[in-house]
Amino acid sequence: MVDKSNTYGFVPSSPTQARGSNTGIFEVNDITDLLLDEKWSGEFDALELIETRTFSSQSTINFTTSSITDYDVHFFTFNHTFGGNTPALRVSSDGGTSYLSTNEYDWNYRTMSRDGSSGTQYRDNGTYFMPLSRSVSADHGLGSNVWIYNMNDSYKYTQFTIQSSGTSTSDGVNYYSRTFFGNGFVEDKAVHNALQLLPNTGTLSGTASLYGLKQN
Amino acid sequence: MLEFIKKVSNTSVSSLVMSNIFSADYDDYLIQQTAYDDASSTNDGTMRLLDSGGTVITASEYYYAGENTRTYNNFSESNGVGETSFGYFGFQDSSTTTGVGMSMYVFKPHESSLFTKCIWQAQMGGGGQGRWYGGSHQVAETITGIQFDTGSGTVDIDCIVYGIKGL
Repeated sequence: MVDKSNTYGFVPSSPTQARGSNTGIFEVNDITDLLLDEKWSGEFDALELIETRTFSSQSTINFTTSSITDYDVHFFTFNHTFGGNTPALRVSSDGGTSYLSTNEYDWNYRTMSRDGSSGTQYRDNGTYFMPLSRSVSADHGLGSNVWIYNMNDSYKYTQFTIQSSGTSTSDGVNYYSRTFFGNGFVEDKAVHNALQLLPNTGTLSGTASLYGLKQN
Repeated sequence: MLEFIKKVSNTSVSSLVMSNIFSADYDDYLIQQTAYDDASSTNDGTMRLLDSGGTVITASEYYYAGENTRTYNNFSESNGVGETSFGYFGFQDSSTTTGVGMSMYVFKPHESSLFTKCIWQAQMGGGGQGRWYGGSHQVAETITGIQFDTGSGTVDIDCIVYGIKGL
């Protein structure tokens, strides 16, 4: 007979439940509750999806889910299907009501291209976190991934590293592989609880996902 | 999928040892760092591996190459041949707390017949320094852990370890 006198309703009535140490007889809803409380044993993916956005011709794409602050490290992926403009990132400390847009973003990056041009290095201080490189045609899109650290720590800067793969072209006929890697930080010690993807001009089309990494 | 293995944080230390983090349970690993702060003196950190007995490997068996990118100056390439550690890990100015961001992938450390390979990328300190490196421990043996060293003085430091597992 199931004892319902405790929190989850398992038998016996009062064992301590924890990951790696579950004891008793469980109904489906008990397991659901324990999973939500992170007390159910098993293999769990530490990379948790926060939000995926698919967009077309948008000028800003905002990630404002409250669970952003559940994580200290985030992973952001971005597939830019087309656009001659350059995507970038901004952060917010008020849940997305406004985004930091002063020169608080310090970044540098290197590009390398198969078209024979030498690798180029850039460094700047600007109103957004480095461009994510750009796509040059609908069938030569851009793939990027970004590690974001310490968004949830008011004593540290928010730090970024980024890698992208795209293409370059000068005539719209011949396309060449283009690689991009860079890093930077936001010169603002605050909890940043929203992220904005935006183009330097015009609009963006594509898909972007924000993940959080659990540290327990 | 990524599976959390261990997180260790410490303050005012000259090294951080992560023992018994590699096993037959996973082929490859993701190591992250979000703190390398409040250094007692400006330093440029290193990383070493632990052998099957948990002993730090200090022999001249570390090879690496990569690039240091900077917000405030020209970039520079660097490499190490037969060094006693992997170079270019933590960097921090004295008495500064900014946080850092480092991700390192370690490939097949537990496989005794292979060299252990690492690639790491990082944003270090408040001055905007980037690290883009790859390295190899050029002796085939089982590796069970890692150790970060400051080289000079102490820091507040952390390390988070994940195993990478196929579904």
